[in-house]
Amino acid sequence: MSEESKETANEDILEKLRRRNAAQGASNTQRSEVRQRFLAFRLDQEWFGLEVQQVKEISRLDNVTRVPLTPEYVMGITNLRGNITAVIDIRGVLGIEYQALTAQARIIVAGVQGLEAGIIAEQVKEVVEVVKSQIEPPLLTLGHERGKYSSGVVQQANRMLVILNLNSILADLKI
Amino acid sequence: MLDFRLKNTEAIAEVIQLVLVEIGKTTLAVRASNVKRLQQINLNELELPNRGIHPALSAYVYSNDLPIFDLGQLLGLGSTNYQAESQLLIIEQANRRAGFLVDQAQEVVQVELDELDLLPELVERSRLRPAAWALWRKSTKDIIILIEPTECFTIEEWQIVINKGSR
Repeated sequence: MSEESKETANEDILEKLRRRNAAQGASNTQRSEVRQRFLAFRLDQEWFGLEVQQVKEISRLDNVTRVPLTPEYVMGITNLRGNITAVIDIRGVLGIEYQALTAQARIIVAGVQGLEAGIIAEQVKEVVEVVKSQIEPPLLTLGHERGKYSSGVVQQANRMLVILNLNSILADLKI
Repeated sequence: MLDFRLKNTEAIAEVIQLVLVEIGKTTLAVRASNVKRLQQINLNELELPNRGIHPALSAYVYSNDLPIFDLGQLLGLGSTNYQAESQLLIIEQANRRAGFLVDQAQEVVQVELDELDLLPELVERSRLRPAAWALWRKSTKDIIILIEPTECFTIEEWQIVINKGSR
C-alpha cells in the first residue's frame, strides 16, 4: 500500500470519527431537549403547566395587600422574604370561573425576561416531566383566551395539561 | 366638632410623615404634608349620602365650599361605614380643597425613606389611576400602600373640586 493511499485511508477514518462525534453532539443536544419539566397547578377544574425554569418559588397565600385602583387581575402585593412581589390572579384573563380560594391555594412566583409576578394557583400538584414530542399545539377547543396564552397541551392519562406562555401573559398584563 | 391642625414637622430629605387611615379592613397612608386638616366629623350635620350629585360625592360642608368625597368609594374599596367617629381628611392642592371621608385616622407616623419602596412594575403599569404611588414596609410582612387621594379623581370629579373647592 502506497504512502499516499495510507494517508487517504487515515483521512477517511478521521472524517468518520468527526462525523460520529458531530452526530453524538447533536444526539446529546436532542436528548437534553426532548424532556421538559412543568409545574402542574389547578385553576377551577383545569390543569396548567409552567416551565420549571421560570418558577422561582411557591408560597402560601397570606398577607396580600390590596392596591387600590388596579384591575381585577391584580390581587395585590406581598412581601416574600424582603422581595415585594405583585400577586396576580390570571383566572379572569384565561376566562376561568372564580372559585373561593382555599387553604390549598398557593402563590407561584415566576418570571421571564426580567418581569416577575406571583401567580395565584388554586392548587399546586407536582412537577411533571414530558417528552417534547408529547407537547401538541394549543387546541382550538381551548377557547380564545386560553389558546392565546398557551404554548401547547399535553394529554396525560387522567387530564390535559395546558402549558402557559408566561411571557405572553406578563407582557399583556403590564400594558 | 373636633378640629386640629397637623404639625408639619416633616424633614426635607430622609423621613416623611404619614397619616394612616382605615377604610374597612384596609389601612392606607397619606403624606401628612398634603393633609391640610384632619378632623372628626359629626355626620348628622351632613346630609349623607348625597348620591344624586355624584356617586362618590357625599356632601358639601362649609357653605358648600368644600366637596366631600367618600375615599373608600373613590378607591374601589367599598363605601366608608359612616360611623359616628368617621373622620375627614382635608387635602389642599393648587389652592383647591377637597375633603375625604375615612372610617378612622389611626395615627401619624414618621417613616424613613429607606423603609419605602416602589410598587412592583407590573402593578405600577396596570394602575387605572396613579392613586397608589409607593409602599411602606411596615414590618417583615405588613405592607402599607401610600396613596395620593387627589389622584383618584376622574376628570368629572376634578371638575367638582374646581367648581366648588376654591379657597
